[in-house]
Amino acid sequence: MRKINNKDSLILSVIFLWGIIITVRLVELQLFQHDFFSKLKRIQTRAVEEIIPRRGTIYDREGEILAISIPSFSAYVRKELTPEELEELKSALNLSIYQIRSMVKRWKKGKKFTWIKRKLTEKEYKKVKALKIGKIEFIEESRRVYPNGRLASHILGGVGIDGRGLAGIEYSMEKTIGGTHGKEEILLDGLGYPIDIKNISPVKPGQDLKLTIDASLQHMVEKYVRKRVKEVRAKRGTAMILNLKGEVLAMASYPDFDPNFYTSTFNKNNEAFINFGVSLNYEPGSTIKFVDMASALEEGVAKPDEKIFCGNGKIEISGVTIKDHLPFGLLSIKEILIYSSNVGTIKMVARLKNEVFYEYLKKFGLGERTGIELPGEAEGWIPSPKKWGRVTKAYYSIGQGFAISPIQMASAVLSIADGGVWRQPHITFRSNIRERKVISAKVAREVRDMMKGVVEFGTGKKASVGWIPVGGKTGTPEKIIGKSKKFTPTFVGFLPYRNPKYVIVVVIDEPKRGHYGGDVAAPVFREISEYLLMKENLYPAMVME
Amino acid sequence: MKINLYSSEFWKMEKFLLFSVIILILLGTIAVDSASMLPYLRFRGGGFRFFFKHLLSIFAGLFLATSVLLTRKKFYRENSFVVSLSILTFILLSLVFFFPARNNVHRWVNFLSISFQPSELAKLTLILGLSLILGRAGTTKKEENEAIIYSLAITILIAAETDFGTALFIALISGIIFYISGMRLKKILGISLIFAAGILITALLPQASYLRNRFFSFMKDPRAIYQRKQALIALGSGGITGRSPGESLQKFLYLPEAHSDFIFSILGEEMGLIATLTVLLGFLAIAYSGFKIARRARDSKSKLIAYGISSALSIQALMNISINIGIFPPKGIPLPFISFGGSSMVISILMASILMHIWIRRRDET
Repeated sequence: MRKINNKDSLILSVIFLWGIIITVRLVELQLFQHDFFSKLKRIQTRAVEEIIPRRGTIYDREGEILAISIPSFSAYVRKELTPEELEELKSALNLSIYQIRSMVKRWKKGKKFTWIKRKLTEKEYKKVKALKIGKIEFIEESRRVYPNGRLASHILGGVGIDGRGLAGIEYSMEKTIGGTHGKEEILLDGLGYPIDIKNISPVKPGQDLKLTIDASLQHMVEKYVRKRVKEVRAKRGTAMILNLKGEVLAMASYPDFDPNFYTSTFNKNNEAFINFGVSLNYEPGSTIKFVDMASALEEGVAKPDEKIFCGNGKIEISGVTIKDHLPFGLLSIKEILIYSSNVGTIKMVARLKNEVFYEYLKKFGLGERTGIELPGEAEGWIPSPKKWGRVTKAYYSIGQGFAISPIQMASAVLSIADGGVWRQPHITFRSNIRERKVISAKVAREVRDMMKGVVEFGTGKKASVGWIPVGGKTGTPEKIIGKSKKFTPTFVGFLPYRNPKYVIVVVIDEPKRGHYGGDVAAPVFREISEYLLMKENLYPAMVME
Repeated sequence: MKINLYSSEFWKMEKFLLFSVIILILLGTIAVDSASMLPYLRFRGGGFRFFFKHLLSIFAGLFLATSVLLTRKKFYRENSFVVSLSILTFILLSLVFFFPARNNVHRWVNFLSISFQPSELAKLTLILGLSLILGRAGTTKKEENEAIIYSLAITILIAAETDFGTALFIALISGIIFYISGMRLKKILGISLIFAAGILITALLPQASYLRNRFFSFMKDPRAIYQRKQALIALGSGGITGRSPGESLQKFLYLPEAHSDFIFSILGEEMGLIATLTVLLGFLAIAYSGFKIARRARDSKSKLIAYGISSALSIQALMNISINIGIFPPKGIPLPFISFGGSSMVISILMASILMHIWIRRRDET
């Protein structure tokens, strides 16, 4: 061996230099890049997950289940699937190419947890199980089921995949039915399994909800509306039954949808998802005339037996001619309603000041939201008298030129049927119902008497039930769309005539066969009434006192 | 031979070395305890198996160290001892290929439920063997060539296990011993060049595609990139003081080999910059005291052994830390005294005890 001299100091210097480099790097990593790496760690180890509470069950007034959440399985993976496995899944679950693509996209981003399909049905669950792909895992999530299918679809609405209500009562009563969504922070290990779960906000299950709807009535009303809309090849139709407390017993709109498949079928351009009864405006036409009568009688400008000359069926106001379908000659006020004379009505309403007439429209709940617990309620459209022209009042008195929603009309009929008290329509059992006195009980009785006449002798004969008297009013509002003329035949009424208990409104929009309210809508009223009377055991002996 | 534990001479240990080793072993015990809990709970089942194994290897090492320190004789420079150790090492290194591979590499020899890594033993054998050959007075060219062949043989055997990290390390330590023993720099560089060329040619052979893939895998292997990233996240998120011992998150199957090769990152995550710098300083202290011991040693064999051991311990640590901080590609190199792994632990403690023996017995003639 030769001399070892100071060769060792070179080695030692290299070692210490290396140590200095490491020190610098450690300080850089742990001191200056601490925040950066902490953030990276937080991203990969923490996941905030929403805990969806079980939704409350929705019952009808008899306790029948309309909507219920049942446990179901959702499939997910924590590891990437091979293209072959994806292909198998695709055919088993009928997944769209977009769903497959979005899964692959997630994996490319490095995210491990991916939903395959949530809330599988029993059948789908078995199919996926049969594939025997070990990577697919399941988690229990509750699935919203509407056991009656399309029944009351517009009232119930639907829920989204996250379990939140998207339409109907599911949406508007979300706070009650939906409960409080909880949140938890999950600490994940490298394979995506939870190590620790921290509750951020607690979850509270949803409350059950009872609707004023009667499922069997709802079913029949829907059936009659659907049948009629198809018969007359109408664009849409609605019918509803309210009792005098303002509770909606049934409200049908056609076309309808199946709330079980709300998320997969929803399309905002699809009319089927619109609740005609609440969300669409229409011109009430002659049905408004009972409001005219009530206002004139209440104001004392007319009496039921007072005769008004209706001329040769024509009236000219400021150069505009409005016609009756027949020249009536001399008619009493009562007969004007019974035969629905436009001329007579216009002459009578002319005795009311613009403001007074407008005031009565408003008092009857027309042209403003009723506040029913359903989303998307239409407001209607009745401009104030300041904007009225010379013929406006005349047109308004025959129900043309302004718009209301069917539920508003129902509330107006209710005030006549209930001795002059307007009540807010509602669909859940609640205590704070708005109500106001609109007209005296005497006037209400007089108008009811006239409306009975409409069914007995007048335009609404086809609404007559036969074994008990009912009251009603027809309407055949015209819709001018471009050059073509379309109609919205409608019939409103109450029953029984003595001690009214129910209010029924029927509106059929744009039928291709027939257009008179008395022909198109009145038969629906009769069918509904007959079923209702039988169901409620209202036979002549009982109603005739 | 009389052993006198109470003689003042025995207790004159090199304090830097002693304390560094003790601190490193303690830190390692904490870190391994924490880092191995999870893999073991999830995949092996049962109590503190990893931790007990770690403690067991520490005790085995300490037992050997005590035996070494209680021996008066400088056995590590005896011909008979080093030759038999060399033969044993070569046999074990060859035996490796007859045992089943783990993670696709042959590194272990199993004997009665004890599995041993001969490449760890080879580190010590190399240092002792080279020192024996080159430490004689008046080294000739023939002896230098012997030394070169000796180190090449060990390097190639280890490289054949496809353990390129250790092979490179062995070559590096050989180079350092050659250099200190006075071999001409030109010669060392020449051998290095031939060595590098040899690797290149082997790698370019069509039959060597598997080796080539393994050798270059760190550049494109997504697992290696992932491992590096996770190590950096562990270290970086630790900050100055860390999350407190046992609280590592990266050990939860984010960082592969958290309890062995990447224990340094876990240490950095749990105890922060304070711990990482302590570990670094510990190894620099070992290098410093080791070199001091080498300078004070009387005979050149002991000198070379001391230089070899101190640079082996510190350079292995620096390589491991460099891998952890992402400036070296990940290659299987454990951190002495800290990483989980019996062979490494026992050999490291044995090396330190030989170093200490050289210090205590520096005035002895035999």
